[in-house]
Amino acid sequence: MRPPHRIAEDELIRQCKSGSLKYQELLYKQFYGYAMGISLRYCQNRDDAMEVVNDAFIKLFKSIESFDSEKPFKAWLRTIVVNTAIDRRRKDIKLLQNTDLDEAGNLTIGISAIEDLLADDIISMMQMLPPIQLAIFNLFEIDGYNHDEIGEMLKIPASSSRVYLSRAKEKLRKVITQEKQKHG
Amino acid sequence: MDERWDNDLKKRIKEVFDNYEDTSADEGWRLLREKFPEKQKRRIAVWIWLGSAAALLVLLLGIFWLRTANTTSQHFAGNKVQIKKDTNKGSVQAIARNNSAVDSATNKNQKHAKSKVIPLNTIAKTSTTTTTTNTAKNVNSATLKTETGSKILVKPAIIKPENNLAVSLAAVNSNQNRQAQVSVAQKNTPLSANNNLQKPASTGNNNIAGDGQTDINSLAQTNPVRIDTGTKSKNYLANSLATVDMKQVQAKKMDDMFIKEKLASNQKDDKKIPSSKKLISLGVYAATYFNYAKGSSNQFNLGAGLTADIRLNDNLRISTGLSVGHNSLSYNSQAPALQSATDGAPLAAASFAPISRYLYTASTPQFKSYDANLMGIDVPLNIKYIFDPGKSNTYLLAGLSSGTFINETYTYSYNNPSLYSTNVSQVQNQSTTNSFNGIYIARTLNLAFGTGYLLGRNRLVIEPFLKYPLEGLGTQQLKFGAGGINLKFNFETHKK
Repeated sequence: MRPPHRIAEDELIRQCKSGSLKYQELLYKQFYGYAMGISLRYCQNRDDAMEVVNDAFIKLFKSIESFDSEKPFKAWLRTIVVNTAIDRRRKDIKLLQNTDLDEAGNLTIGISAIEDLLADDIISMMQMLPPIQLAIFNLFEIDGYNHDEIGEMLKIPASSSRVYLSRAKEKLRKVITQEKQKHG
Repeated sequence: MDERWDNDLKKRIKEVFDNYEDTSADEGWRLLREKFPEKQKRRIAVWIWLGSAAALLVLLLGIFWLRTANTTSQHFAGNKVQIKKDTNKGSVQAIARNNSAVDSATNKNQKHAKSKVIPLNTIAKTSTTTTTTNTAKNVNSATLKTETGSKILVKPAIIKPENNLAVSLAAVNSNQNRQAQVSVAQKNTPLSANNNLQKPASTGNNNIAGDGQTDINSLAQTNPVRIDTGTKSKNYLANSLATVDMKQVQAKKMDDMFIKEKLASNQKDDKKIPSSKKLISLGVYAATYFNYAKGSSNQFNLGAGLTADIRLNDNLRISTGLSVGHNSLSYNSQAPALQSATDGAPLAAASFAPISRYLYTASTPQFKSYDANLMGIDVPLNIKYIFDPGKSNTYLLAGLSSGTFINETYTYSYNNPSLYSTNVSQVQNQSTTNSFNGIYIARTLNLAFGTGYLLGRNRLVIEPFLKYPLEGLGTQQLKFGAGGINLKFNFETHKK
């Protein structure tokens, strides 16, 4: 739930640097939705996503003294959440990287269908990807990491990252198409 | 076409999630608060634990000190003290040290009150009868102030000759239920409750000096002393009297009986000295125990090791050693709790368990079981308090353990259902193994109670124990403990 009074970001950060628990709570609640939006894309379920968000905020509160207020706070928070989610799912990613979906068909989907997608639809759709493809799709397409960075994060070659990304996109197309056909 | 589709999808995802609103912030904050102040709580817990440990240590040292004091007292103050209290006056002078009964009745006009002989643990080394004069100038060794008509039983406390310590003797009984205090001192302070008594260590005799003059010398350590004080003269009483009463034949016989017992006891003690003075005592042991942890079923395990007890004094030992033990945990209903988010990678199967209503379940692996097997080296550092050294080997032990793991194997199993059919699933196992992956310091609290039995020259000890985890152990930071029984076999070693 959105806090009743949104407080200036700078003030929140300044108070959090002084260790104020009250302002930590305000900061948390003000950016909780944003953090959950990132976390949900990486995690298997909502409870998992919430744990990632909380772990990310704990890291954030512990290191906020070193945060440079001149830099955008949201970008910093995004980095922390993404890293926390990847750390948490690193094992699944390695373990299940060979799990694959059936080969996608050659179906296409109209642009209007994508525009109709809601958050839950997107999350559900993305959860059908194997963990490694899900992670790479998010890292590359949504969060702006390049393949070298992804390779380093996931301990895989950059070329593998490209392959997985390609597969992920292909499968997403297939899933959306199937869903569209299923619901008319 | 595909590129455009991808761009549109990417744009839509960013649009949706950059402005994502969630209503569970309050619940999230509540959950975060359970973790976030954890360190502060842990610090407090550590301080509470340290405070308790310090208090326990002080208590043990206090008990030890008192016990040592009593033992010393019995060695040096082995006398029977008899004090006759004047029935009329409140001042009584008492002295107690000779092989014979001492009677301080010096005044014919004195009326003696009832006297009582109090046997103390004594050893008579000589049979010399020493007399003393009645004059106040000569004998001022002990002064007892009491109320009129009271009968006082006096028991000597610690006497440490090398320190010339003043010794306080407490009046225990009084006919009028009043208490008095007696002090035996080396130097004369008539009518004072705080006199000094000196016992030269070289001779074993007690010299009681008054005003610089020694009138009672070579008083033996083990005799009943009866001291009567008269009532006729306050001055006379004030200067105190102590005389030898040769009539205490019966008391002497009783005393002889105690002497025999004491000698026998001392001879027995002398035989025990080598074992009680051992600097280091070594032993081996085997342990059977159950590992326990939250969420895990109890697992029966075995271990073995060496122990070394380093003597601090009669009651206290530092107990250390080295042991190798197997620890195992089995989580069937849920994965173990993680110490931190980044530590949980191998346990990620746990995250598959609850499936949100928001998500599909088809491709989600389901947690089945999680097993941990750890072969560990344990190096305890404990302090051991022996209740009655020499007579028994019953003790309490507390301390902390450090160590490492020779081998750690974590295995988790999960069902991996088919994407499109929930009826088809495949069980998969994933194992990780580590060796000597770090050393943990003082992360386990050890508590034990032991009792020993002589087995030839050696000792067999049964020691129930509990190991309580203060922090997580191993690469997965699993918080587990152990409870069981050690069977120890302690060898004899001698002080070098």
